[in-house]
Amino acid sequence: MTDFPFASVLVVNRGEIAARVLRTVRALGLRGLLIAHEIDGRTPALDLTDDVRLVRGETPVAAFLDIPQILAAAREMGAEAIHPGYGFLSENAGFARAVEDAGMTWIGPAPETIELMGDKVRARAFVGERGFPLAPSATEDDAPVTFAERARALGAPLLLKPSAGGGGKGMRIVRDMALLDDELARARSEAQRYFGDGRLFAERYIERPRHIEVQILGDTHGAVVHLFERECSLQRRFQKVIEEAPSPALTETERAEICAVAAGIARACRYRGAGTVEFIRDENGFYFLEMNTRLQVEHPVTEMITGLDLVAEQLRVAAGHPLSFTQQDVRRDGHAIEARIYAEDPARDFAPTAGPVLRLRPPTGEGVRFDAGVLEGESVNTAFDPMLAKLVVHGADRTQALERATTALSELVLLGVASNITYLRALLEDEDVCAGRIHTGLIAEKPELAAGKPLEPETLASLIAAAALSLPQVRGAVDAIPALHAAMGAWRN
Amino acid sequence: MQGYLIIGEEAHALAICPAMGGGYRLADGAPLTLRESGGRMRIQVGETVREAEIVVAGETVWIHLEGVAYEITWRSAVERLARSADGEADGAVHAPMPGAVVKVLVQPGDVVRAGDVVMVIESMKLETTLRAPRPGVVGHGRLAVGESFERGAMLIEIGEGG
Repeated sequence: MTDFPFASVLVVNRGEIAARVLRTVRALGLRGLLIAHEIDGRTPALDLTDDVRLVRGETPVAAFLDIPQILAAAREMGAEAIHPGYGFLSENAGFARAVEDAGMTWIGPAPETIELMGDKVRARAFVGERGFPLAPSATEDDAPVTFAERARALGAPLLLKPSAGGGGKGMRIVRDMALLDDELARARSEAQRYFGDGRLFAERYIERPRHIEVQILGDTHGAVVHLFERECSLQRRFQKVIEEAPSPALTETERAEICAVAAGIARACRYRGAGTVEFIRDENGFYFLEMNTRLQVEHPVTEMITGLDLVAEQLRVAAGHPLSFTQQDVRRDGHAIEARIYAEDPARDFAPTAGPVLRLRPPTGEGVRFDAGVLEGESVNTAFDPMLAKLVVHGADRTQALERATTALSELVLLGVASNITYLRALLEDEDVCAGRIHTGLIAEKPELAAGKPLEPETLASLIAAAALSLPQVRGAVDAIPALHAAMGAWRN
Repeated sequence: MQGYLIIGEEAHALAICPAMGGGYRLADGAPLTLRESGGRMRIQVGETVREAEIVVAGETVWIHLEGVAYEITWRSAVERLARSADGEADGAVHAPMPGAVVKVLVQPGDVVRAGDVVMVIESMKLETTLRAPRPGVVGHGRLAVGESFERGAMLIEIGEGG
């Protein structure tokens, strides 16, 4: 067993990732600590923790961003290390520094690396200066006065992003340059609200690109390895919906090239811990998009094909241990697919949903993993991100992985709150998706998948019968019809 | 008491009655049964038998049937009529999704035209602008910036006049 200089790890997160991190923390013999917000009620993570403190804030999200309150909770529980999960404070260099200043171990890259990669403008400059591939762009920092003009010069379509942003928040595509000024104003306002920084960044929007990212891992002794790529091209409004590994688009030569570039970028910034280098790819090649200095939501697909536990690797690196394997030791086996279960209603333009989790029955079967953030009997609220759970499957090849994913999605029972489960299945059964012909605009180009299939008459009859006989008030009304009247004809109106 | 079962956007008139000699049948005479078997429900309509998971919550039944979850709501005929009449007369701005108020652009007493932006809301990561559904005078606001609401909640009343 590995020695750790810390005996306990506080997870500063919630939902499925809090439970997922705690599972590994405990498996390694460490104490698992947690902060939680009362709005979440009982959660899978709570059942896996040795101690917990409730955090409060003006909004539930604000509670998870309140550094002084979180550090006070950490001290109270005797936390010796902090794992930030993803989102919230995971890419906040100030928090990473505060954790280290408080004498605790920060499970993540150096604060300077978070700062460098968190500033999209600096990150691009850093990557570009070292000869790695970049898409044409304009940044507001260079000369704010001429920014709109330089953005216009890139030509339509254009993608506007907050310089301080990430995760797709506040991004806008401009197709009609006549609307550029309006779009700039709106993007600035959103950037200011989400990130407290209204500066923008514009780049040429590549139509129908693929999103391919590479998982990397670095230790404190200078070693960096890549753990192959993931393709995350199935996105809706820049939010990933389905991810897979390996990418069906890459030849072995292209795979080796993109993975080597990612590892090169990680090496250049002396990366420590788990990180992801994201690229966009079109028929002309691939370009650096950004580097995420945290564990990604979709890390399980990499775990499935490599057999590694990325959280365990993060903990070992944070403990100062050298990586226990070299690049040559990293093997790739089969194909993995992750589908994100969101509380949203595809039939209502994916509007967020909320409600009680009346029933939750995870799928079972070979190669199936289900990481859930909610429990049956609790409620889904709209205070946080809409992701409820992740379904991850592994198969010998892509065809088997697709089959296992659709079977598992049909076995997954979630009642009480509308979700995208049926939509995910329709997506995985789509002929272009099955053939691997995917790009980041595919979901937007196929709105019919969200409408769902019309009900077969027999299915409808079964539903009506089951609903009517299950509702006491309806069954009572049916029972009240005199049998003689019933004999004369069915009750209709 | 007559009524409808609402599935998605569609209302289906109830067409079930007791069968002679016990049990139930559909309008076309097909016999129906619903019974529990090992934690799951067996639905039989005529010759067809299907297995489902069913949970009842108030006037709503959730059914997981052949890999798909359905939300089915019971609405009596009277109630359905009342709701549709209410919907037509009601000029208010309703929440298209659950979320929180980002900005209120009108004050009580303001005169608005149909299509004027009256409020900006946020749900998850998206901002949405809400517009007045008809011309009129803005009534009393119910929510302040930062407050959250459920889908369908009345956000701003728009009265006659102006």
